Amino acid sequence: MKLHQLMESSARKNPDAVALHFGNHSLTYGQLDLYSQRLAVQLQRLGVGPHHRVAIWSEKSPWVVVAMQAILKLGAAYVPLDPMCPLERARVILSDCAVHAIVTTQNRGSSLHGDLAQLPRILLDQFRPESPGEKGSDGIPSIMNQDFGRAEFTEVSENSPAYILYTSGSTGTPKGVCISHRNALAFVEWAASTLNVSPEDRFSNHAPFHFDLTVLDLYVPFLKGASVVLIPELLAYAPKKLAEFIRTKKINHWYSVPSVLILMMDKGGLLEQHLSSLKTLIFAGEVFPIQQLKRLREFLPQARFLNLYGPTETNVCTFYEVGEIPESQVTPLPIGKVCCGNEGWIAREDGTRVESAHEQGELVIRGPTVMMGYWGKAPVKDSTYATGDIVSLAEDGNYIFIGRKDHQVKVRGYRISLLEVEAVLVTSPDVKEAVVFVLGAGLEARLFACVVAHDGRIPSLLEIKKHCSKYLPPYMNVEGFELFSEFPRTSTGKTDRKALFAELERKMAHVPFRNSA
Amino acid sequence: MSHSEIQHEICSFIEKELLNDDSISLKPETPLLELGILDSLKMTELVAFIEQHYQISLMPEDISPAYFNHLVSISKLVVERIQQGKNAAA
Repeated sequence: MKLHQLMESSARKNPDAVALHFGNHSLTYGQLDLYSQRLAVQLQRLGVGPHHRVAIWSEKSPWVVVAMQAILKLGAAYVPLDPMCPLERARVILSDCAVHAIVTTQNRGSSLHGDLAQLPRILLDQFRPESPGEKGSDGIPSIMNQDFGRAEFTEVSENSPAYILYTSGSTGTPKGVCISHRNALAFVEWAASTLNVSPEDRFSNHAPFHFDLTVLDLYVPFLKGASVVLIPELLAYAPKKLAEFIRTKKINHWYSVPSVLILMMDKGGLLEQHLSSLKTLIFAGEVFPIQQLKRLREFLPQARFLNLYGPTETNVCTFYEVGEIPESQVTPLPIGKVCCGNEGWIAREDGTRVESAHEQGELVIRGPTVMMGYWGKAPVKDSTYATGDIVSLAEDGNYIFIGRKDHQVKVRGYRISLLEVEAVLVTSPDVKEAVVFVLGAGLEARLFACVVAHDGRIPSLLEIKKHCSKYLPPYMNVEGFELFSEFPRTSTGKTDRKALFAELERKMAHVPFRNSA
Repeated sequence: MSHSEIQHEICSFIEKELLNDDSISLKPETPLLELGILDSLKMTELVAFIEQHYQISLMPEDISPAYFNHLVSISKLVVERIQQGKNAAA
């Protein structure tokens, strides 16, 4: 079984059922299959074949989903980029995994220069001009509006790459997490059965397509012949409209990071909406603060609440179903027990396994959802991945998330390696040394830089932000900075991050929010 | 109210209420989304300000990067929606 066959099978069974809703438009399974077949033929003509990679760089639209299915039909893997990805970062990613073609928009396509100017491309926002007497094309990209005949595509094994997701890397460049059809299906099949999905159900798709949350949003409905309502990226920034959206679109299964739900509760009047359609509320990506969760749980007694956990490298590997939350509960929400056929254990620094409750260590996952490896690096051994997440085991057998063992952080659900931001900062002509911290928590969390300037240079926040924006997506940009004449050092001469943070706190206490955007 | 007055008001709202930083002075062409000047929380506050201050209601499709990346296009959107409101009332 391959990932795109979920959609194909639903298209055979019920071609007229709606697969995708977007704004006032929708695509049936039959249309989704037809358009992806047409696009696959076009991509094949551009030279795309089995085991190739094809980038997708576009705003969210049904045509992006069509492109994903077309690429999979060819036995190739798709590489979705952040639509807000700066050109320089896009260039790094496209070169890293040596894509054979790109599906993009006219603006983005024309910004590619150098070697990439020759990259074969499909433009999704090119529509056939209507000639007199011709029927309107109904907003279908011209490339999908023409029948190029049927073509045979070579089948690849289910252990071939289906997609590559780039995540923030500690070395200053993003890393490509390579997921096979089997890896993804192991999760999708588990999720479809756990959520008890019926063909009448409607899913929301809140996450952008370069996030792994999208895998559930798209492929679980495709497996069951249900439908998914795509939410435009920026609407995610308008909590009031988003809260109304859940009600008016009659969403049954909602999946997002907790920050979005909290934003909707605090600023979007979510708790004033009548949300009787909601059957399941699924969240992942960060810890849901227990007090906020309690409010939501009480407001939606009819819905199931599922806390999913797993870095991009493992897909979802543990889950916890939230039951009644006792008034007195102050302990954090567990990430639960392993799922999707995986096994998990807690490893001490020396590699031995923790057997007793409450002792902390690193969570290690082995099983079918664990990635093939990072693109261009050695494959993972024995389907085993050490997550870098420090956890402990509660007496009831649930894992509790404690924190990270490295400098990777989550800011409103976005995974960010602080070292990557620091690596970009020191390439600015003003900045000699930089250390980045997360200040604040929850919705207020923000990236803040401590900076030592080059002699004679006086950095400004706008210049620093402009520099970062060339290499980093907006959510990885710093929101403020503080100048230091030098950083405190440890006995070995390394920057003493702990002492620096204490110094920063002292400075900020005197001048609150200085330089803070 | 003219386009430039609205642009000026929105600019000072972002600078004073959202940025807390005297050193940043926004230009009409400053890319607000690409620089991360508007993030989800700040967008929320900006949309609430625009709807209240100008007594208009933005549609879900208005919340798009095509409008919100620059001061010029935000104020153009506001002018259009104010005009639409007047036409509907007339």
